[in-house]
Amino acid sequence: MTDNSPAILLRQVTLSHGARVLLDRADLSLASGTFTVLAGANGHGKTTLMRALLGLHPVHEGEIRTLGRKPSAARRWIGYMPQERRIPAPQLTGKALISASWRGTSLGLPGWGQGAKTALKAALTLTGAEALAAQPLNQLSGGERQRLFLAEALLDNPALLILDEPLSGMDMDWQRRILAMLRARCRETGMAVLMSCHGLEEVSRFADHLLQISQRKLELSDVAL
Amino acid sequence: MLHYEFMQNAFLASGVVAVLSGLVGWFLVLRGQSFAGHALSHIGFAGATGAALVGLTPFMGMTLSAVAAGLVLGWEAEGDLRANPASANHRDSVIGLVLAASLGLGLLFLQWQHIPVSSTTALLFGNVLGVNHATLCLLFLLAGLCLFGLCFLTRPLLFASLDPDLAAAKGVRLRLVSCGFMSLVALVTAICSETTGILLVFSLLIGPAAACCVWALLHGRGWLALPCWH
Repeated sequence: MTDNSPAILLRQVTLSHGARVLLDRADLSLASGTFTVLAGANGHGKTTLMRALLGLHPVHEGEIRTLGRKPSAARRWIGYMPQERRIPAPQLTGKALISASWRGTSLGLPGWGQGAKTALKAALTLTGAEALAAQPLNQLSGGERQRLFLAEALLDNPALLILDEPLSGMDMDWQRRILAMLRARCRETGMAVLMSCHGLEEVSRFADHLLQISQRKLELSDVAL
Repeated sequence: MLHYEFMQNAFLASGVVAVLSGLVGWFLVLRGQSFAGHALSHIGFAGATGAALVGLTPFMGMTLSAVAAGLVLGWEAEGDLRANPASANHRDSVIGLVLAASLGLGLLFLQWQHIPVSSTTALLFGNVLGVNHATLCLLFLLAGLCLFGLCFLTRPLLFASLDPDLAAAKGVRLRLVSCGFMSLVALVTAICSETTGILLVFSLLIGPAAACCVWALLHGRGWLALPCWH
């Protein structure tokens, strides 16, 4: 990571998906340790923007920097929770699924020693999913799975957390607990969070910024949502 | 029974085939690439029969053609996977066409060489009792290579198999992992074909692995799907 650099920096970025232009010469700077909510109507480019931040979607024009680096070079410090997950083997336990992603970019056999167990336990504790991890995924509800996937994104204490609709399927009580946990992590560890969601009323108590995407523009405002 | 050398060789060769096909087949089923594994054996058939036309051994021809096909099949889309939602269907359509063409080419090559029917039968059904010492050594060598390659790739391969999108987001090079894995599948196909024949390779690769997954699904035993790590 590059110290003192913004967690997310966009300079004159244009993004398109097929023939549709979703962002037109947008600028943005988000500091470390901030909790930002990304809002916008369906099809306005929330997911595309998030994927561009991870280097998974090409930038048509302009420049994106995450944690002071090119997106593809910063991936190891970024936790990501996609909106949709296709689980090829739903009979797997949550623990097996998350363990497979722990340092999954390294070559060799999975080294699931004490380090992996500690990291896994810490992440599961954060989202209150310790008991859920021992059950097969096909026996969990949508909200319970979301908590497991969030724990997966939190593995190894990422410096930037990108969450695409993480609260969908969760009841109100767990939504509040997860939002409080994310806010606390931002304050304690300096982790930056960019999270997309639709229900802004509940989130407004916990976030620092609102990032609105509409009409091909980005508008950043403070927490008075 | 094990007093005879040919029986010892048969059991050792079968053991190699069982271990390799079990391990590689599990990943094939998990990744939804069973059809690709089926195609590789048929492409290997065309390679084996065509090899004699250019002065190579059938095993060499089968290995080279299967590995080349494996690299092509492993050349997956990268970047934004959402942009290629139909890629799996297209891939299966292409594999189906190539599979049929390979079988036809294999038979055409056999016809050109005027090879006796027994040779064709050996290629299709194998001859586990005909494995000699030299073949056994070659099988062990290639099996060692496959196991080493699989151990080397296991971590990113498992991650990419369970969630390719997330793996790409974390920096796993999907195309490299996929090409490496399909090359291993091709090599395992060639090794298995040497003893069990081309037609039975698919059953050995997919059958036990699929049964393992279904059994685990029916009984809710998630650990069965990752037996090594639980």
